[in-house]
Amino acid sequence: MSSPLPFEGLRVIDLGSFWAAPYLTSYLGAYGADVIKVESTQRPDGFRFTATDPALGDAWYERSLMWQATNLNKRSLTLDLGADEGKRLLSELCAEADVFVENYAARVVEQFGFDYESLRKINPSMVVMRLPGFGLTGPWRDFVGWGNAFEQLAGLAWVTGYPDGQPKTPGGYIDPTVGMHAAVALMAALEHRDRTREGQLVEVAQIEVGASMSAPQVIAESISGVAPGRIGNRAGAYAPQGVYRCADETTSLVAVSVRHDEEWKALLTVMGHPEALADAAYNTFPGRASHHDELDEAIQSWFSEQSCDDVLDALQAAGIPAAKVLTADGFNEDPQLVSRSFYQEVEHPLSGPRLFPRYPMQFSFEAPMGPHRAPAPLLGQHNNQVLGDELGLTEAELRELRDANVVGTVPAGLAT
Amino acid sequence: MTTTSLGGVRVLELGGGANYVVPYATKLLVDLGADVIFVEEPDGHALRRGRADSLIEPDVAASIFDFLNSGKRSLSLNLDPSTIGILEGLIQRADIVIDGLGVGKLEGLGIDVQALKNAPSRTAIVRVSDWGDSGPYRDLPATGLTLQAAAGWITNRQEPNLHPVQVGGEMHEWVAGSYVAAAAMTARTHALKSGERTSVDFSVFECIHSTIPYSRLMLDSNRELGVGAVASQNTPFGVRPCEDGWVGINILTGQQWQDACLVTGLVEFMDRQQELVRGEGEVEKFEALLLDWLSTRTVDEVVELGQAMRIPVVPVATGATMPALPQWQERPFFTRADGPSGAYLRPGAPWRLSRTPTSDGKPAPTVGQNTDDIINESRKDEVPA
Repeated sequence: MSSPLPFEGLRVIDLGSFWAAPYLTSYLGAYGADVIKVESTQRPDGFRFTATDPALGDAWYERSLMWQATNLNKRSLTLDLGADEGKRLLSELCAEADVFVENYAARVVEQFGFDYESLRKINPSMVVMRLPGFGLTGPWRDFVGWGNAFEQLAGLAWVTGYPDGQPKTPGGYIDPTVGMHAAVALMAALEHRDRTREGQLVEVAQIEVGASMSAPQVIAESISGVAPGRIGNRAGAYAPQGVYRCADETTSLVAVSVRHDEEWKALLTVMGHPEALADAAYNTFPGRASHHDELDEAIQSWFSEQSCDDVLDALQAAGIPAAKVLTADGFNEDPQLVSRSFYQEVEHPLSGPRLFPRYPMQFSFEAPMGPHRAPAPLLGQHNNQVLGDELGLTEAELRELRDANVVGTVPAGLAT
Repeated sequence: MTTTSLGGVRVLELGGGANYVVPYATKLLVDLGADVIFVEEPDGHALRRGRADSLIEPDVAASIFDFLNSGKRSLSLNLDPSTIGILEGLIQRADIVIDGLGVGKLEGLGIDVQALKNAPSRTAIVRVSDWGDSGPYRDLPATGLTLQAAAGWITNRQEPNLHPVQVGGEMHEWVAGSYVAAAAMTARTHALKSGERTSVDFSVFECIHSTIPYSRLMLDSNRELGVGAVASQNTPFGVRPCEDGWVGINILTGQQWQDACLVTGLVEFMDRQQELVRGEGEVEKFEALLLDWLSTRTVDEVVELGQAMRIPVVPVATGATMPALPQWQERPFFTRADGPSGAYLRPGAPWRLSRTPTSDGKPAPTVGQNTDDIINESRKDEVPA
């Protein structure tokens, strides 16, 4: 008998949208949870409409690969929460659920009557995960934002970029990171629930996850009065360190770090001891650090005449930290990712077989083909299963719900 | 006494080097009430002295160490063959082990991990390494820059002429720390459910990459649509300077684009979003008009105007300005702590639990401060019932 998955038996009601909360629930689903993603035809998850287009074919709102990647391992239910019957059915589902997840701006679920106090009355053992952008309280609780904004507000853009240039936004990486922070808190809250039968509200404000990751900036400023700024591709105690362009026809860049004097000597050997780097002052870190611009220029000049693969092989053989700058075109072919089966093929009924990322951890209990257990569901695909088979609604009642547009399978406005 | 979620859960932290990945993972578990023991050599954890890649001031390094290790316990131990018995005992007693020593290090010390794996214990073991415990890169040396490069984090950040640049602030390490903590809790959940020792092979490189694979999926969709290999080359609003600082104007929807053009007086560009995002058309004129409009307004004014129109506009904050923002003035988050170098300001826990609040922050231990207590606890556990 195979080992049970860690979240087997866990029922999750997922009102997540876009990336942060759906990433969390997709993870829970991969490792065994029964995740019911609740949308409505009036207000489907906005991520369905990202990176897709009617030109991709019928039901194009099912075809966004980004949406699919974030919603693997779930079932889909539509419920119009503006209708009393929709609210009643969601309440009924919550009564039997272990976890409720949402990441709208603070006011949204409250407007529908699903604030924490109401949910607690329905099911005091349920863990309620709320992942608002700015927090459930405070003057900015109703501000709008998404990953890039949270990274800017939390000090992460300020330290990204070149000293003489604009602050640059990392790129929304905070979204899945919020999802994983929430996973940690959720699993702890479930341990408490298992011991006491007591549920609770877990609030994970996305800007506070960002600010937590900016601790060194806040700490340094509070002690020295100077907030760290941008350093480009450098690192204070490594020199030289940079990203250099090779001779390849298509853009190819290699990142190199010299951590100490021995690696500097090794780099000079790889480069054939160029005249421009012969100055004895460069043999120690202070000399290299104070002439970093000149070193960059000489190294770039040499790299410009080398093929990327050759220079990378030589640097790595010499024990110098070096890596090719990976771009989207190379994700599915990267030797390390391929060797460790980072991408898992999952077949979607409309999009066909596609490669989706798994997680950066391989568990001893994991199935050999990877963690993903099901493709992203079609909108409302499991309406009958959840409402009929599990909540016991009759076919006539289900028809009534469809006729009243409380449930459906096509976004409002796109129905023919 | 306040109840915590993970009270009584024993966590053993090994290694981790002079970076934040493993200490942040276990800090998150301390915040939830776990009893974390970290093992350090007699000359102290590498991070006490700062980072190998940074010239950070000693006072600042000591305070960052205090922030990451508040509430943990320190065991000082020479990691060599003579201490195998102690180390094996600690691993056997732990509910969670987070091993940041690196690929093959425990085995090199003579710890028979396979034998421990087969022991009748419910321990969850997360083995953290730069590249993972297999694959052609497994033994390559790495730095933050090369890991970010290999994983795809070094880009022009949607500024067409910018030389590709890494993400600052060691963000990848904080990201990885949270994934490590999630892996540890997932493995623990499995170990409790199955009664099996559960191990995890964790790759920091894959973790960084985990945050970006969507760019390939977007590329594939664009190719199918025949719109070219790259979706966006340019950020027409984004981070820009105001009269007194930087603001981020983050457009996601067509409606937000139109509203942002209206607010900033760029009405002539209201139906030209896609053209500008592709870096085509009158990009320079747009930029000049936008900068001119922003130059006579403060960050606060632009944020207020934008948010009133439901446009995601925020200040670009720094370590200095974050704690003073109105949201965190009214919603306490940053707190003052007494560290080894005096008082300092630090962020609170990244979550708020209504029934099992975050543990109170105690100072980080001195080197080996809890060694005797921990050794005595181990001996007591060994006494037959």
